[in-house]
Amino acid sequence: MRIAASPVGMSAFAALAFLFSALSARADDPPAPSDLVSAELVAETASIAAGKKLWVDLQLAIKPGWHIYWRNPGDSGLPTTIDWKLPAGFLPGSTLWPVPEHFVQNGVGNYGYAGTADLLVPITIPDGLGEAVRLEAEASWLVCADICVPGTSELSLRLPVVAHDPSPDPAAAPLFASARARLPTPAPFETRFTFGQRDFRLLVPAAALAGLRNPTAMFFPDSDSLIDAAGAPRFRSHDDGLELALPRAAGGAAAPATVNGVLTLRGEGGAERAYDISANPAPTAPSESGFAWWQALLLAFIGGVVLNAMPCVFPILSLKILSAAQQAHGHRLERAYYGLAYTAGVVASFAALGGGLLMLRAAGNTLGWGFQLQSPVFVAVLAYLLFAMGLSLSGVAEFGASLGGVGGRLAGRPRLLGTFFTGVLTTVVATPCSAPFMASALGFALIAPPLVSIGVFVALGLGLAAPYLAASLSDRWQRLLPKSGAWMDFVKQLLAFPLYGTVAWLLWVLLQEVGPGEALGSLFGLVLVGFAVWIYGKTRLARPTGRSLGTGVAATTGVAALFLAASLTPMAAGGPPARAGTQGGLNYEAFTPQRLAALRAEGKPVFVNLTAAWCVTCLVNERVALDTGAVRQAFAERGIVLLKGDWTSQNPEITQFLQQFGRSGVPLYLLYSGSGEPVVLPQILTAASVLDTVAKS
Amino acid sequence: MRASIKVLIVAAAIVSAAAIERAAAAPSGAVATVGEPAPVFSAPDIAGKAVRLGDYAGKTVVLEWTNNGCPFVGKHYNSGNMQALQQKYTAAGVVWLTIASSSPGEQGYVTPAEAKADLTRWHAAPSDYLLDPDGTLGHLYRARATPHMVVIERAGRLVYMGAIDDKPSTSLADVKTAHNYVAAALDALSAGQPVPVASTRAYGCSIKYKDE
Repeated sequence: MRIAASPVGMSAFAALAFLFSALSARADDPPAPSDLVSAELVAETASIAAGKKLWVDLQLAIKPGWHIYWRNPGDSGLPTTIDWKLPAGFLPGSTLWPVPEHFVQNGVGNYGYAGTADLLVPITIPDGLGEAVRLEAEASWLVCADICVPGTSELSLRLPVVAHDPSPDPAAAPLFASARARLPTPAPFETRFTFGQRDFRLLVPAAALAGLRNPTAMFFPDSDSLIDAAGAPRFRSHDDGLELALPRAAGGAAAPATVNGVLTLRGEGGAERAYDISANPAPTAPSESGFAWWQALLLAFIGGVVLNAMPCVFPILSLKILSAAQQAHGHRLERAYYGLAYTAGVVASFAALGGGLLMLRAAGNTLGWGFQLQSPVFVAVLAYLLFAMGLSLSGVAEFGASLGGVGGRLAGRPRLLGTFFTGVLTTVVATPCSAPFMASALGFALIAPPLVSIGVFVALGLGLAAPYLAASLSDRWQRLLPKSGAWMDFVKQLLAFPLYGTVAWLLWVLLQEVGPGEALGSLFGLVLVGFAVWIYGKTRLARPTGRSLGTGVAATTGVAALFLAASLTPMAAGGPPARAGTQGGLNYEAFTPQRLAALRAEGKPVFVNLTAAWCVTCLVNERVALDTGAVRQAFAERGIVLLKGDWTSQNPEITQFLQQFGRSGVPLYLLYSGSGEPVVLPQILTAASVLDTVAKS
Repeated sequence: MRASIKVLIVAAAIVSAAAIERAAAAPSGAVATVGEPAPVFSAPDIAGKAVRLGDYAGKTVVLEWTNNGCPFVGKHYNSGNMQALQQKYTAAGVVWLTIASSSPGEQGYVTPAEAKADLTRWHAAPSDYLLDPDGTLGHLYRARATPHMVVIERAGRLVYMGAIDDKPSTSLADVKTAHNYVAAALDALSAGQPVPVASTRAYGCSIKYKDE
């Protein structure tokens, strides 16, 4: 049943707009709204029945060259609205919008319709109807070409009521068929998104593209603060499907939990599909970074060099210097071999860690840099190893050159293999620290092609080894070293204590990861390690039988300790309850992306601290910068809400959040103020730098 | 001598690494960003005088993009809303700059004489009216729809950018019930409070920029 709309009334607003324009100095007479858009209400059936649903089409015919707007209009314009005036009990459902078009002119982008548009609305019909009903609605729109003109129209439909099935309307059938053909359909596939520094990316799976040649895509988001409406879509095809990139809206909000909107896919030859999608974040970010690969390599190398100055590497590095002193007066070529063996150890272990990380991620784990320290087994075994090394330095036993390169035979020369393992150990103890530049390079590595990723890890290792390698090759540096002698025994025993310190710290990390109950076994494991080292040392000077027996007992005890460590499992998912609450004088709430989004929606300033118990850099930052009187006061004065995310154990939510900032590990500090982009604070904080950032916010 | 050259090389490497890192992290181009220093500009006013942002150092500055044919701008002038804001805040020492970025031949383009006529007809009271027919200023402040509003605090930092209020419509009646973001930002600044809402999306007519 098709009923002509009542005459299109020029609204008071339109009249004013007309007047306004006419009065202006350059009066281009704007056309009357009724000439630009004609609106009609069409019902799908010729009658209605109680309890049934009636579909109504608001049919809009738009003058060529003009357009009206979708539910998210883009940079300007207004969505068309329908204000229903229905009899009691009638309920309009939500409007179904046809697939919009993308209009861009001179840097301004819009989503809307040219030609015709049919907005479909389902109306629920109650019981207890009379003979006929009258449905009324006021439709309002803004129609624009070079200029914009608002229009409204009072529309109505009168439909007879029938007892049972409403009679079909043959005239309306083709109209509804074509209107429905223009609606997006629910996506039968899963779409993921990533929210990078600059781009919003949709990952359309290959299954969605079947039958489309050289597919292209466009995305129309429901949210107006997600993407730049004027931005042109860019595509990249890969085996998994199509990646659609659109620039993010300037000053846009933080990453949403889900993204809703309409995805259109086009193939060569005109095939086109449109889907309603609700996309979730992708588990891993596709490659997007402001770096070129060589810049990432350079950053990694310099980060590696700087890492030498960080506290984690100190105990091992001091051992290295000691062993360098032993070799100082050796043959130049020999020294070079040791330097290269050490470098090889560092580089190989970085490559292995990096490769392991990439493989685990490829297998679907959401992990980042320092992932090995999220494993309590690894932490316990590392504590055992360093404890054994410390005991060896203290003189309990002598393992030859293999541990630290100074394991006792001071008069002898460390073997090349031993030097190699010193390199490995340096890498392992270095990972809890992070140096400037490292974070960006590692963040890049996780999303780069595998070859470049491994290159970044290798560059980091080369950087870490470089100062030692250079020193071992330089004659001048060697002359600076003191002659080896009895003093070295003293220094060697002294250096055992930084190692014991490291062990104490690793045990504290272990307690955070598994809780005090679980940790007991591995603490006793430490006693077994002590026993093993002692019995090994005691039996070295015995007869061959005694020596073998000692070695056997030591090995058995050591393996028993490893068994105790291997039984460790992290606490229930999410690890220990994020260490919220008062810490020092700072009141932290537990970080979740949802909590952050909620606070941002309330317009509150937020400081986000992503940390881990094993991250030495994080702990130092908290002690020297964040938990100081002046910073506490500045946070309190500005009403900044503090959120802390604990990455000590695995937490995919935090890993994903880190990736949004191009990071693969902690620490990450963010200050959100107003509604703009957060300020990313440096990896190494001082109270002054934090205060400065807060003051500028 | 050789040692100092080495030190220089190392220092240069670290500085360049820092530069690479910063360049990658910073958004591209020097466009206006909320929370950052407002980009400086120079544009002619209707008297032909060059006006610079720096001329108003130490003062709170409001930028208002206008288009005399746009019904959304009309809503705020025909209701008297825009003039009232201009009068109230310029009296309190705020600098209010009205800006037209429409290109010649497009709706909203005004010659100096036409702009003056608009001000008289509207009884408008901005501190000055700037003409930006090539759209440089509009693009610099990411203005895409009229009215587009910007608030710059005394220290030169951009503290608000976006819509004039929270009722995207052309209905004059909505002015009374809308929450005015610009007034809220200016009141917060004079009370020494942080601006409650710093960024919204402007609503209105597309700005008719010169073809690129």
